[in-house]
Amino acid sequence: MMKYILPAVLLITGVLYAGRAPVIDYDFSKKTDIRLYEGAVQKDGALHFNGKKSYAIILGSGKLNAGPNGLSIVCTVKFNDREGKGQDVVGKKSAVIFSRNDAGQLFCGFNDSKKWHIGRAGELVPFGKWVQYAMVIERIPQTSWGQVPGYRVNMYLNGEMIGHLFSKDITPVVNANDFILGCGEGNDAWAMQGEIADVRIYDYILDEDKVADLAYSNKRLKLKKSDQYEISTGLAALFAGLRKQSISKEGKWVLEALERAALNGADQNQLAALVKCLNNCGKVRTIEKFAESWNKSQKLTKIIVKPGIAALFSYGLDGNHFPLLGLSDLKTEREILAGNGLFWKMELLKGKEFSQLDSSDEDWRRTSEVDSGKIRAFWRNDTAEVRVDLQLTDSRLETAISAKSLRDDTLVFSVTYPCWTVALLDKNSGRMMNTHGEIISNPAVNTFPRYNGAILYPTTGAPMQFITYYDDKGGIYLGVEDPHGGIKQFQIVSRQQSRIEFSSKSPVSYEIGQTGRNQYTQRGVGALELHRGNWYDAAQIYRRFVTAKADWWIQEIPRKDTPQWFHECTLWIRSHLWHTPEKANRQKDWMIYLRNYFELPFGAHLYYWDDQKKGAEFTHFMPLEFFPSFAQELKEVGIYAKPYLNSHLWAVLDGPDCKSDWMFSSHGKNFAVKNPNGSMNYEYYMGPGKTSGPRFQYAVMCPSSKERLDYYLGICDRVISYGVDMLYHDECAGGNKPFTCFEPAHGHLMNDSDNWVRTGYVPALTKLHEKYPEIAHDGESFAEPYLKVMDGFLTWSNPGLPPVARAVYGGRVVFTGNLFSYAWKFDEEADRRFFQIITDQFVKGEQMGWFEPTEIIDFPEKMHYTKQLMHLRLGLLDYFTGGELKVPLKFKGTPKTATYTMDHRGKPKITNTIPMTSVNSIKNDWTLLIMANPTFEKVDFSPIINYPGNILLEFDNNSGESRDIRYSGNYTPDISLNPKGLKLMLIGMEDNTEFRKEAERISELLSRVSGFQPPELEYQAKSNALTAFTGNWIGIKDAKETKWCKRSVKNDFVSWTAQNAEVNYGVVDFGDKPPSRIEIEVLVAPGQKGGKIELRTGEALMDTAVIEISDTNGEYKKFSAPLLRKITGKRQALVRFKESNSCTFKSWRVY
Amino acid sequence: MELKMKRFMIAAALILTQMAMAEVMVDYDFSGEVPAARGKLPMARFNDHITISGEPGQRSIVFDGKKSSGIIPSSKNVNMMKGGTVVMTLKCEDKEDGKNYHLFMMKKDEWLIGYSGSEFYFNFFTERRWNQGLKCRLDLSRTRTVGFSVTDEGKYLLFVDGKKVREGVFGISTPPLFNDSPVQIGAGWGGWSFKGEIGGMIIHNEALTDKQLMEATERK
Repeated sequence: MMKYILPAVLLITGVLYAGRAPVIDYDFSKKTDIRLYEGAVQKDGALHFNGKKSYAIILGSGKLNAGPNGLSIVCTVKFNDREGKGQDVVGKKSAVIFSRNDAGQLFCGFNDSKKWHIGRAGELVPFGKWVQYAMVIERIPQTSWGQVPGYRVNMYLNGEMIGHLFSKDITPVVNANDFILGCGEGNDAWAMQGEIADVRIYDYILDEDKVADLAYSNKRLKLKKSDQYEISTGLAALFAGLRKQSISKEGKWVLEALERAALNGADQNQLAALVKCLNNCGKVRTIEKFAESWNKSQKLTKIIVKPGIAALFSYGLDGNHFPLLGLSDLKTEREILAGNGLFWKMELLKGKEFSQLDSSDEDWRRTSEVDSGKIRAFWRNDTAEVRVDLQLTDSRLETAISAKSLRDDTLVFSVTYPCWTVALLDKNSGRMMNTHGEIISNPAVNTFPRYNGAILYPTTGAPMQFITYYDDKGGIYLGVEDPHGGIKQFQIVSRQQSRIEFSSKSPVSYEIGQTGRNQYTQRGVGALELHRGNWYDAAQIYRRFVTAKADWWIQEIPRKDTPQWFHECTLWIRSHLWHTPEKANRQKDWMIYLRNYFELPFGAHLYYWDDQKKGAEFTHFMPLEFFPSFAQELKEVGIYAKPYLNSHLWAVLDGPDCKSDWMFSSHGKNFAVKNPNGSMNYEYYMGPGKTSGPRFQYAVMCPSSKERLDYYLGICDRVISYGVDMLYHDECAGGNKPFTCFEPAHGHLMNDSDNWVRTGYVPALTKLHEKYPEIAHDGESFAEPYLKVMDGFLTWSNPGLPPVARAVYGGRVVFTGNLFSYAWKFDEEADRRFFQIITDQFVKGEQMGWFEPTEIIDFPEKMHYTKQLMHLRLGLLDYFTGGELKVPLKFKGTPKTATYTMDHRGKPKITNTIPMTSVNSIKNDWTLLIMANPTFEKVDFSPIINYPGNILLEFDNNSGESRDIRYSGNYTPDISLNPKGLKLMLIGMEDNTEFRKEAERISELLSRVSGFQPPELEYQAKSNALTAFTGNWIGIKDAKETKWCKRSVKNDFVSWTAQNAEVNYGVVDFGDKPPSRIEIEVLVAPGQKGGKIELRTGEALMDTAVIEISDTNGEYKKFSAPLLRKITGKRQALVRFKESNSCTFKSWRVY
Repeated sequence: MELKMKRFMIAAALILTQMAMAEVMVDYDFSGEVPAARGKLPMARFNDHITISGEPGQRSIVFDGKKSSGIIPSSKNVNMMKGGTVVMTLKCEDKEDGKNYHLFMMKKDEWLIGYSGSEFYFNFFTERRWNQGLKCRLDLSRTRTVGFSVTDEGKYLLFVDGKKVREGVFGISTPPLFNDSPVQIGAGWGGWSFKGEIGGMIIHNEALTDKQLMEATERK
């Protein structure tokens, strides 16, 4: 009996639970008791918020929390444009956030009392359009060993799950704060400007179906499910009957394609007839024979077979489906497509109203034609006409679209095509790489660490135009091969965790004043191509396209258009001059010291060199008086000066110190990118080096405004005249968000995808190159359309990614720096991070560095290693700037990994395979293998070396001597690399004099580099130093500066210490013999906490001693502690108090 | 001076217990190694030009007459002219500039307590101008405990070291103005920066009686 009762109880409970009403259910088209404040109003069926201080409170909702039973919030919202600012929709103070972020994406999460767990996902949420916003917070219990407990947030836009966030081992905050609408954690800064039509809050977990039901039943949204047509009972029975029969795999493939066609709206009577045909030829074996039989047996569809791939097209089948019904990977025998397979969407603009059309709409008149490998499909109604071409070739399907408005009052505003929906690959071995190069497993469930949802091209998130999805059987390349690099928006979305959608949306241009009848013709093609490898193989497919067609491809390497000094530059130092000659001179001293030790020139990336008293930051770049001579002095000692410029922004208050409108209204405003409604786009930054205080507003400039470019090029001319070697164009080359512009006064086309690069930055930077061939340029991040006009790219924010750009572009692309740390802290983690990042840069052929002098100047080991890598890079330069990246090394067994973190909170975590390796080939078929161990432990491994060649030389890391290896294209040695060890191997096709000469050259290089010695620890500070080495007591009167504490009138003690208070002694001479202990004299009275006092020394102010002090009953006492590191010579020194109200501090000495 | 500071704090503590009705907004004691804030408002934020003087347990804070200053956080509601009391133990250094202006406390465009030449001042702001509420010759070249109290009707009392020095009623032709500015210590106007030492200070949000103010300023 129990066996019936229990399921019944569970079922009833489940039904009741799942159907339970929301705890909060407001429909603002009806009268409600919602409390409105500061200008919020309920009218016209919705709550209206003014984007200032308005908000509404749901009284009594404080009891709802993200607890163990879950919490779901669903609301219908419409945002108005707040010019680049985020907007909070629903919030529960200190507990829950649900918003649209600055970038325009859905943004939500919860707080666990220590920090916020927030995710963002999906495409840009449009302005002026109703959307359904939903978030579901769900507790994931530990149900089994290996299951990590935590909380998951599912994010939904218009009923589709667009992302999720999982946070382990935390508990969300529970508090009694009522839910607020139109305002949240962002307060006024993220005040909502728009409407909320309804809001429902549930005290349980809504599943995906329920969220989707709410969206599809929402009359404001007008959503339709294009792949959810109901299949008639008769047809379903035919499908089921055939499935039971013993038919060939080809027959099964067609059967599944027909079932999908039914769901996508194909005529079901005709499908029934096709199923009967399938019954007749379903047992035919081999795809070619099956295709022949199928194509003869009916006249509605056609199978086309090419090597490795087969496609089922429809040309006579009526209905709303797309004419590509199936696509089969013949090697893996898998259907590639899922859901609605391939489709397009189009955005129309009539006056000020936007509307959407897509390929599955019912009112199209559709026709299609098929011949040997091609299909042409047409859609036409009274408003628009669309044509799609598809061509099947070896393992590849290419497609392109054209669209035309047929009305005088309607413009085609954007076209989204191709929209591929692909089936899931193997859950365990499946990997997906997005346009940024991030790789994740199981993309149905997992999201990319940084770039999810909508990603604009060309930017850091999408420097190239392809993604790939692969598993251990094979993979799919999905590329948008636009040879002119126009602006577009890519999007990867997991649909219902059962298929992946990848789409590309392009703006459509029109003439100034044009109101209709514009047209769009896709440039290049969208391509799906099968491969049998991983990201590298996909990169090689893309490389085939760029080599043949891309505007930016550079034929010859090493590049002839790059100054020789830039080719040979091996390292970049980041140098902040902080607007003062004193600080600048200190930086110069440090860099000259480094220059002398390294015995090689390097570059100095200079920040804060401009005089903001003459004009605002990021805008006018007037030099400080000392700057030209400063740049000249660097040049004289072999340090290349690269000052910071910004090509993207103009301060709204662009006068001195951002206090007045100097030239913004008269110039900057005219040059700015304008949106369709005439508004501008802004970024917001605090003053230089500030982490708090007011944010200043900067408008985004249009690079296709000729006057703007003339002004910016004038700045470049002026700055070059100061004697610098290179210009850094911040926010250019991928580091910014590109816009299309609608300002008629600029004279360019409206909404033109070429506004940004092709008619904007590229011609401007080309002019600079032509005018100053010895001046190099780099920009923020990497994006391919800038390849020809940038000598390098500062890819500062993406460590740990595979070298996809180098796999495509080889020596044509040069990276000029990476960020070494988000935290100014020197410990073992900082060491791990430093050695892994710089080794990764070296191995991948990048110019190294972009760290500050103080990040290495106190660390002889880091300086020594950096010097070795600099000389090695220069010695092996041909392989980097003149070489191509070969397929990465594989290993016998699983190689070790090493992990470091970018900040002191442990995020983000970067994991590298150890050893770090690269394989580089140059024109004469020599292949150089580099294997490096950046860790502090020995590493053993066995690389599988199977690159073409007949001779392989293995070099000894220390002596540089080479050893001949018997090689016939296969070698798997056991290698052991010491900490910081390096192994080079050279493979050649022919053992000739030239090859031996090269081997000898590499031997000499290794031998020379292994002879480098670490620097003397002492940095010879020029300032007068206090003397510490005699054991003298150093008092407060000797201090240069005190911070966050108070001195006594007599200057004999400090007290009232705040947390991390400091007494800075400037330069102290510690003598030749390192002291071993420190002694301090302090008083700890009632109310004072004692605690830890640190001595910090060196240019980086490393922790040198920690002295623990306790109560001294109000009398001065002495405490001592050992020094943690050897310290000699003249060093910076300060004493830091870890606790607030620590003690009354008098003096210190070392002995 | 140091002993006086200690006494001031003891006396202040005793009085506090007696004055349950008057809310103590500010009660700063600078005599220890850790400055104590026992009133409703937290410790003032002093800039880096403040220094410390005295032996352990008998400290005071020193204003340099130039750049030293402090701000009492969340003090926008310290409205003396709605009824209030200030008690300070302090000593002035002669600035030797012939004017000897000092600002002990000031709430911008509302009220101030200061010193000019050898006279103690309390001024308050009305619609048109600063009004001179009280002006009284006082020797502050040695450490004194000064208590000043005023009611919302303008009745005032001035006690120094437990002795009544002055009482009266302000002539108020137009109503005093109030605003959200915080109370500044030791500064407010250029040239009026305080030069001297403060051992402690107490602010109530209402006027004290004669007896209470006498006890508050009495140095035992």
